[in-house]
Amino acid sequence: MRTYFESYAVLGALLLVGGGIVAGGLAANRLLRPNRPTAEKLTTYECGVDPVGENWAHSYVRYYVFSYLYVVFAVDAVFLFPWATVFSAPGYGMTTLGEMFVFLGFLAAGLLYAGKKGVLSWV
Amino acid sequence: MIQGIDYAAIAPPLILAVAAIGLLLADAFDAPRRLLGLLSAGSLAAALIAVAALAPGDRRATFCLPDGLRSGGPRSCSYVADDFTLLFQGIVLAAAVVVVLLSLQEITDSDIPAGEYHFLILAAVIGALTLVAARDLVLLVVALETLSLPVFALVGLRRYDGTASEAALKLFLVSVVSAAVMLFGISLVYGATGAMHLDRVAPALERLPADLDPVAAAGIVLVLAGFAFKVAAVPFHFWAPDVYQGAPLPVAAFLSVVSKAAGFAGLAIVLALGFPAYAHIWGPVVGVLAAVTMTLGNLLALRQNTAIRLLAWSSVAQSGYMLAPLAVGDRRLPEAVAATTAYVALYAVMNLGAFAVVIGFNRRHGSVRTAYDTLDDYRGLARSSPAVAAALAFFLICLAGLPPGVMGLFAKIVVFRATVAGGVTWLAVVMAINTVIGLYYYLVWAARLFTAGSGARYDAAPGLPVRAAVAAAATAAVVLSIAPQIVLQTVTNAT
Amino acid sequence: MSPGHYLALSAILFTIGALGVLVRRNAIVVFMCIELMLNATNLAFVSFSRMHGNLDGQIIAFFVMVVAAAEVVVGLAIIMTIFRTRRSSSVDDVNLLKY
Repeated sequence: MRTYFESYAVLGALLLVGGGIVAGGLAANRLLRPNRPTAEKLTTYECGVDPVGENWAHSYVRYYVFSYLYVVFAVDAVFLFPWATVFSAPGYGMTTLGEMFVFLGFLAAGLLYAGKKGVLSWV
Repeated sequence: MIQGIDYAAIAPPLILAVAAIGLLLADAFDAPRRLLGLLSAGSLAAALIAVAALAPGDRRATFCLPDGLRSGGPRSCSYVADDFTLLFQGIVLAAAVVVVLLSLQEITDSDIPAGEYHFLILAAVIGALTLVAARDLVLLVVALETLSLPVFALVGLRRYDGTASEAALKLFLVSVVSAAVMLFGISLVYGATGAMHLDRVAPALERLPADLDPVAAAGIVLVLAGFAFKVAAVPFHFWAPDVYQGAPLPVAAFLSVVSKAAGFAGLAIVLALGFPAYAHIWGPVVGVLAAVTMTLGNLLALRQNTAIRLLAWSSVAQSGYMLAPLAVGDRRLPEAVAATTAYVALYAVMNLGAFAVVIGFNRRHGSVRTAYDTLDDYRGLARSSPAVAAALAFFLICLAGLPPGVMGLFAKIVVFRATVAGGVTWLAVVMAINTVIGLYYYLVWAARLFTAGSGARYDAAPGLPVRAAVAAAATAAVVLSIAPQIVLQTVTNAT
Repeated sequence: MSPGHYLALSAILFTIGALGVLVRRNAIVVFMCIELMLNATNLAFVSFSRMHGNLDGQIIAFFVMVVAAAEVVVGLAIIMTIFRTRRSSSVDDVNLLKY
């Protein structure tokens, strides 16, 4: 157990060194550079163009319902894994296969509904 | 190795599941709204018939552990259809039929998508039916979520309505957080006992080594928290008034009757079958929760002036009464569970009745839904439509627990007796005080019905389904007031 | 690595999640914290399952994952409807319902 955590010591030392380099560089920069802020300099830099509008931008997310569906269906696939471990074991077989198709049938009914409601077409 | 499934035992949820899928597809292929409503109510009625057919038979259990994995332990079935289960399934289904009746008009008025509405109602009812039959923690969690998830969507289904989506977000956040807390509790109980089936958890808790004692105790309290949300008990009660106000009214009725009844059944199952060994921990916790819930609910109900918020706070207070018998711990626990069950059954009838009248009354505003009914709007209802006013007054008197509303009085006495018999006298005293506070606001509302009118007229046409619902609830209330022992006998036989 | 370490990690994650739910104001961040709580319970279930040498804990972990995904989808959909009417996803701006 001891050695297990000790093997992480190198990682910790590396993190410290890395952080030290970045922090040291920024600190040196801060100490050496002149600091005379004006209102002009404090505006957000946007390729030399004055920034317009607020920080919240409204973007139109196409297809987001599709991604919701994807999340649900992708996660529902976890039930296939325990099924797959016993499927080929003796004593299971066709009935087990049929049961999985019942499950998939329920999912397919959901997709069919979504398709008929026009969720799956690009808007 | 393949397990046989007792399809008769799972018939009620199975019928609804098939109907729900059919309904969804029918809606996708543009079936008319009337047909969808008929299908929804019809499948609920079919499930109710299935429950009635199962009732005289023996206890059925399915999804049991196969012999090879049992290792000498008990039978450990996940789904059990015994008398207790069937009684609660009957309550849930009957209430759901009434909710669907109440919804039909609301769907047209508020422009709610009909297919989705009925599908979600059926899905939530499936969750409730499974919850009351679940005898292991995994199925319990899944059923609880199946009950909760569709309700979030139902609450927010009225489109482009700020209050509805706000109510949905509030319900969602509180529900999901309490579910996470409950899951953590279950993980602790599982860690301490190594079992998920309640008939294995209970003996394991009895012979728990002393160093695991705090783990199991913490787990049990966290599991309680999850159910406290479902039944709107105090630390998790504040969603109730906001959600009832923002949601379509039939959904509020669903939350306050169906969802609450299932929550109480789940709580009773977990406490009585799973954790009796820790009654010295959860007994006092439930007692304090019950006392705080009923007091806070009643005090806040006093200062409400809209009908729906008053009903919301009163249903919080009623949750307190229902929790009270469970505070006895393992002393005379079966009696306590019977008392809670009886109260839930009677409460379902009178609360649904009150909601039905309020829903019919709310129609008066037509499409303009900015204002909610204040209690003053109910002035003069007795003159413009005496039958509806009499029904509402009767429901309110029942909820208050005064004669002639014998069923309410009877429910309170049953709960009171179970609490005293279990030796929790202080809670009985708190209950008595609260009943008196409750009298005030119910009677003030009832009295307003008979004062002179305020000018606003109630055009007595809430639609046939709503009238049928009011009539059914009123008939049931009158019958149960004349012969309240029906409920007690059924409940005592079942538990 | 004994299961004890995993349990400690799960407790820490759950606490971070619970704190986040109480402290943060952006609904999306609150969601992430809820996910953190659910996944912390999953970790606890799986480590307990290994401790006891039975599979119950792993089975419930599957169900929790699916439930969590369904919850996220419903929750995001609710936030979309709120955003349509309010143009903000802060929990503090949700204030139409008061008595």
